[in-house]
Amino acid sequence: MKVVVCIKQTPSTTAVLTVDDSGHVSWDDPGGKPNILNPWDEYSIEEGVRLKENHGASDVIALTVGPDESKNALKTCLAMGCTQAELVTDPSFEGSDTVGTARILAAAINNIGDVDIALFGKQAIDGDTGLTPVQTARKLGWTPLTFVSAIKEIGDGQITVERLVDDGKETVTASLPVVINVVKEINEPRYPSLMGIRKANRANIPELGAADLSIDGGVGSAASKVDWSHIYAIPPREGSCEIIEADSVEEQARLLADKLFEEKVI
Amino acid sequence: MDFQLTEEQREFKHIVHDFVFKELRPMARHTDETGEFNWTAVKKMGPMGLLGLEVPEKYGGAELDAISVAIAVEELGWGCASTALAVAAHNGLALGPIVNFGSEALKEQWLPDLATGRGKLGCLSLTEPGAGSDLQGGVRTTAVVEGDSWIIDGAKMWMTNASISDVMVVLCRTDQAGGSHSLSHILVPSDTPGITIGAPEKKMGLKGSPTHAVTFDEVRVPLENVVGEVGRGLQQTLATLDSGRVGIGALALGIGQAAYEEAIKYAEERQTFGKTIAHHQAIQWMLADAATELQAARLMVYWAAWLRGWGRPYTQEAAMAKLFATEVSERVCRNAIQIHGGYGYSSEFEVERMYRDTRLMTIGEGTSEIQRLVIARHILNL
Ligand SMILES: Cc1cc2nc3c(=O)[nH]c(=O)nc-3n(C[C@H](O)[C@H](O)[C@H](O)COP(=O)(O)OP(=O)(O)OC[C@H]3O[C@@H](n4cnc5c(N)ncnc54)[C@H](O)[C@@H]3O)c2cc1C
Repeated sequence: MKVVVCIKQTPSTTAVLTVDDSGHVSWDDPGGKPNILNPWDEYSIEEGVRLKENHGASDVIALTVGPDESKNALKTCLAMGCTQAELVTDPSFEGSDTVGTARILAAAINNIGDVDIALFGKQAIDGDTGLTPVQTARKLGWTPLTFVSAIKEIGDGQITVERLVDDGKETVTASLPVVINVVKEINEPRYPSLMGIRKANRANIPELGAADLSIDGGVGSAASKVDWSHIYAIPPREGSCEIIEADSVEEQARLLADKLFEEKVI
Repeated sequence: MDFQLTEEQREFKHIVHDFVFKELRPMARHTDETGEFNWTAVKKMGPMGLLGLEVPEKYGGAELDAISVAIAVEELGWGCASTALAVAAHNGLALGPIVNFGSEALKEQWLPDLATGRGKLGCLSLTEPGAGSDLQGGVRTTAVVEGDSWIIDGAKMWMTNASISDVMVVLCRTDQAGGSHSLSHILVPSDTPGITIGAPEKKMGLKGSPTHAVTFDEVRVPLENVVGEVGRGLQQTLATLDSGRVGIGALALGIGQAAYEEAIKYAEERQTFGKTIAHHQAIQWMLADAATELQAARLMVYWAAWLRGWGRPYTQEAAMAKLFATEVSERVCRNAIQIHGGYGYSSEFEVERMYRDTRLMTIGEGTSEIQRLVIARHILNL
């Protein structure tokens, strides 16, 4: 069984997003922390590694589309136990929207060949769209299984998973190959190991470009349907504060409740 | 000359820092208040390699270079000194002699579980009621050969990790005649009949690192359990303490760094006389001194570790690094409390715990006085 885990490198969780008056965006960490593996992807990597440990997956390949620097996130995946990593990078990919990225990922997954499961995190902490997994499934023509909170069974070309849906949990079975995006309830990701880091540093991470994947159009900023023409900082929220004075706590609580009813908060 | 960490060392530092930030630091106060050992975090350290820092990969360890080890211990100390001490003692004091001097059979039997967190921890047992700084003259615990076994009798003190251990490396007198070749290291499984582990000592700090008095009453282990050579126990101990001292220096550095960061944070928030206290020169000077001394201590710790990594003599440099880093740490923690004013004396603030925790560092693994004695012997060729 071959598993691909699609990951992304994102700013650190403590990085601060700022937009200046001319719409120029910067996203730097005040403490100088480097970019990281998207935290949501830690769960899909963990699940991929568990498929190797518990379900006999032969390959768990971390795959990303991004600049050369994304190799650092791939190294983290190797240090967590992925068997291989692959970087897909090309100047023509720059500015792709999620459909463009899905097109590239699908081409890369087809290029790897014989993949049974493509795992994704729920979303990436930078764009936060959560669109790429289903779009990739669509491009591949595979069944998307979204918001998966447990992989129950794999066998006879089928997979059974538990999905976390709005009003509860749902168990579904689908034929392989499938695209899965996982929620954080699925596992507790391990930390990368020091031995793993050393191995990752020695690993050869292949780079593929548009020509290698025969991608011709439909990607990059020209094909993007997303319009970034006006970027501005969110205006600070206006608010006011009122302190309710009364002789007793009970009276304060009553006044507060009245107020909340009045404002239709409750 | 190159003052940069390698890329790999920087990556190790990030990973350990991130782990410590999430798993140790938030629990440090709870660990101190309850005295409960933080097994949850320590169990997660196994697969990461933090429980087998210098253990060869073939036994499941991380096989790190000496500087990476110092970095890891510093980071652990930054997050929770109690847990850091337990882990540093496990790695340096207990596994150190097994890795460096132990037989292949002992390594194969013990290292794979101890280095990966499948087992519990290890400890090194040198100190006795009548033997601390002076081990050669003071150790009374004996091991005598009877058939194919050692029979161990005696009482040890201050054994870090005893109650949370699988094995103890015990310094025993194997030659009643005395002298520098009368001691040996013997590996004793902690559940061997005849061992009594006392209640945890009540301590000023490091409350989440259990320390115990342990008695040995006709404790029988196979002759093969001698670690290294019979009669080389003192020399092996001194070699182990050399590297342990770099570790304690690094740990103290981590505590000092944490206290310094707390002091900066507080100084930038607290207002007096119409400005933050960071704007008062008296506070600035304490912070500037702390930054300078921590930097110097870090260079000394790395320097000693670097020498060790290259297999060069480093006994004097290890003693200097331990002496300086531990005393700096104490001063930095003391001043961090001073900067916090009354709040610094309250256990609601982290610096109070750090001050209590770092106090041990100038005592354990050779007091500051003993470090000066080691340094003086080297510089005076005594
Ligand atoms: C929390 C904790 C954990 C510990 N963990 C361990 C452990 O895991 N394993 C272990 O074996 N031990 C452990 N110890 C023991 C520790 O290593 C000893 O306490 C230390 O070596 C000092 O020995 P001592 O207490 O017997 O003091 P002493 O040797 O009695 O020293 C008393 C005082 O005399 C000074 N002094 C002694 N000799 C000289 C000299 N020649 N010149 C000048 N001054 C001198 C000392 O510096 C000190 O100030 C631990 C101790 C503590 C508190």
